[in-house]
Amino acid sequence: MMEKRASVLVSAQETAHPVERRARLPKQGRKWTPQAIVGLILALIPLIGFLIFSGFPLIISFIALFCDVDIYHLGGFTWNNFEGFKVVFSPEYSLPTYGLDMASYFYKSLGITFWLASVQLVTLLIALGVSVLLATRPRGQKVFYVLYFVPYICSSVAVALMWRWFFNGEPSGVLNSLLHTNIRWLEEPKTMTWTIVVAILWQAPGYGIIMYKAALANVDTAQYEAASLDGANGWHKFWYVTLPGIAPTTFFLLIAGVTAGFLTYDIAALMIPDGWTGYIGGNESRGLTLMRLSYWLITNEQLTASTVSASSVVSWVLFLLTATISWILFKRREKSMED
Amino acid sequence: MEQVQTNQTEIVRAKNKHQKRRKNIVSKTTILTVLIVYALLLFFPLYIVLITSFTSVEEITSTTSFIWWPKNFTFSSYGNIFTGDIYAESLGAPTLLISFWNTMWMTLIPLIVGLVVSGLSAFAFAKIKFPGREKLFRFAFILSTVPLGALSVISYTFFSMLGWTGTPLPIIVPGLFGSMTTVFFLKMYYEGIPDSVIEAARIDGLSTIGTFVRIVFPLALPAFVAQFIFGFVGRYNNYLMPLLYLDGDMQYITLQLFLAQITDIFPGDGQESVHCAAAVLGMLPLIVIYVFLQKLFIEGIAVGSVKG
Repeated sequence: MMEKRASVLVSAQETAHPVERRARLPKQGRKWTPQAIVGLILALIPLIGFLIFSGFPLIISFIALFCDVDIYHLGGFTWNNFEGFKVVFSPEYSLPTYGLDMASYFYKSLGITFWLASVQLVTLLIALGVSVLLATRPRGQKVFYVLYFVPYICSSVAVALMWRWFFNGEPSGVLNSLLHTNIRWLEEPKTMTWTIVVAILWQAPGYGIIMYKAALANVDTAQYEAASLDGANGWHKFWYVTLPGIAPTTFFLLIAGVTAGFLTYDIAALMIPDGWTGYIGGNESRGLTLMRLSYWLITNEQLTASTVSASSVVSWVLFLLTATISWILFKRREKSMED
Repeated sequence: MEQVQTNQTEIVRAKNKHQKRRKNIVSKTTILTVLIVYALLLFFPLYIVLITSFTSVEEITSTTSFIWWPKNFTFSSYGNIFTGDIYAESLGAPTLLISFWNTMWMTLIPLIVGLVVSGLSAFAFAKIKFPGREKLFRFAFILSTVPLGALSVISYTFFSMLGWTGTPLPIIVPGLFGSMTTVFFLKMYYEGIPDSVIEAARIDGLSTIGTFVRIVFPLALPAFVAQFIFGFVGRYNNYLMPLLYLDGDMQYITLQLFLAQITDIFPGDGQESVHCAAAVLGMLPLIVIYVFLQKLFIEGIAVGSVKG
């Protein structure tokens, strides 16, 4: 679509400036001409930015896994004998300043994080289902696409405000009014995490629907006709033609979705704030994700070297987790492409 | 005899056709119903926020059930955001306006500068020959596939060591260098521009930058617009970065931070209408732009996020 537009523009440009067929310039690219140096510098700037602003944090956080770090001055690392690992993983070891058992928070948040990441699979199914229905070209198809995308451009802060109002625990709350109940949805341990799930399910599918739109349009129609001639019904066609045809998009959405799911911070922190219950991440820590734990450790008021180290450990657990998942899915994808 | 047979088969065929069409109509209605129900589900929470923002504080506090349709529609909550703001005096303007202004410059400066830088870098990778270009590109590509999102919180240590926390610098400076994913996307797009066009510009005496500004940028404008929209939505809605780095400094407050603190800025019973009004105002700019440019938006987000 875009490429087509570009080529149209290009041909328009060419007719406007007829290219004189002169002898080609001497072959470039092997020598450091002034122009090549300009090219190298221009090409390098984003890479330099990446190396500084992603590379240094990566290195510093890696050092902070094993060392006490003074975050107010550059440099000054001292070996801390796995203090950060002990804080995060060992139940007997409590945080010196608070006497908090961080390990129980860690294992709890690990569970919640996996729970919220798995919601992304449901998101994907909703997106797929809606997209397949939309691909039948119902009346008002375009309007539906426009409407379905609206949640995606809402900020997570606004989304949380909306759903907190919906789940308001007063009798005048929307859900309580609908059900004639008096449940404190946002503070009740049984329901708290589900309120986050609802907010995610409301917001996330729009993206998949848009991505599937192009993918479904690109499935070869000749294959459908061939399948019809072979006597395939609608379900067969979906299973053997549509699904394989949109597999690359599904694969991309899966990686992007699950990675984003593991890194959930905003919606969890805004739906279920820390509050005054003494728990991190709301009542019984039912809204605590690994990102929130890492955030709490690095921003709490009595920041010490061991909390920085512990925060690094949690971040690296997440980093290895998301990197492994991306890697496995990439390998799977390569393998299925070979078949 | 033959005539009769063909007649019969025709009748059967017609009957089948009729049944099929009826089945088609039924399934079409089912599909349409499902799609409409889904749309209603999506708009339900937007509705309750909008309707509450038009309900007066007195009406909210007077009943114990949710008000689906207020007796008197009022815009007073929208006025309250500007007049009832307890920080307005110390900030010199209502927090909403300050936060909107901050969001705009913190979004647009890194976005526009970053797009130009990425655009030039992609131009160099696609159209300027220099030794080792392909190797450098492959190196950059492999580096950028590492999923570094998990380290966004712990990057605090680095920016703290630089002494940048409590200032907008961590939000702005990294963006000024452009982004590698944008480079890959734009490079792909540039490859559709024939080398002869670039060469012709060079023969006409245009410099490298001149060729970019006069020839490449206009041709790749749709790609830039897509990237701009993608980046704008992401930065406008960002919550974690300002929260992490601005240290709650009210003079740097952004729109999302303002919305997140709205219950603290407007505390008390029945203030929900003000909170909802703020949520509406916070979402409004993007939704208005979206309504006018939906096609560009949808394309921008779909294309802008596909890597490499």
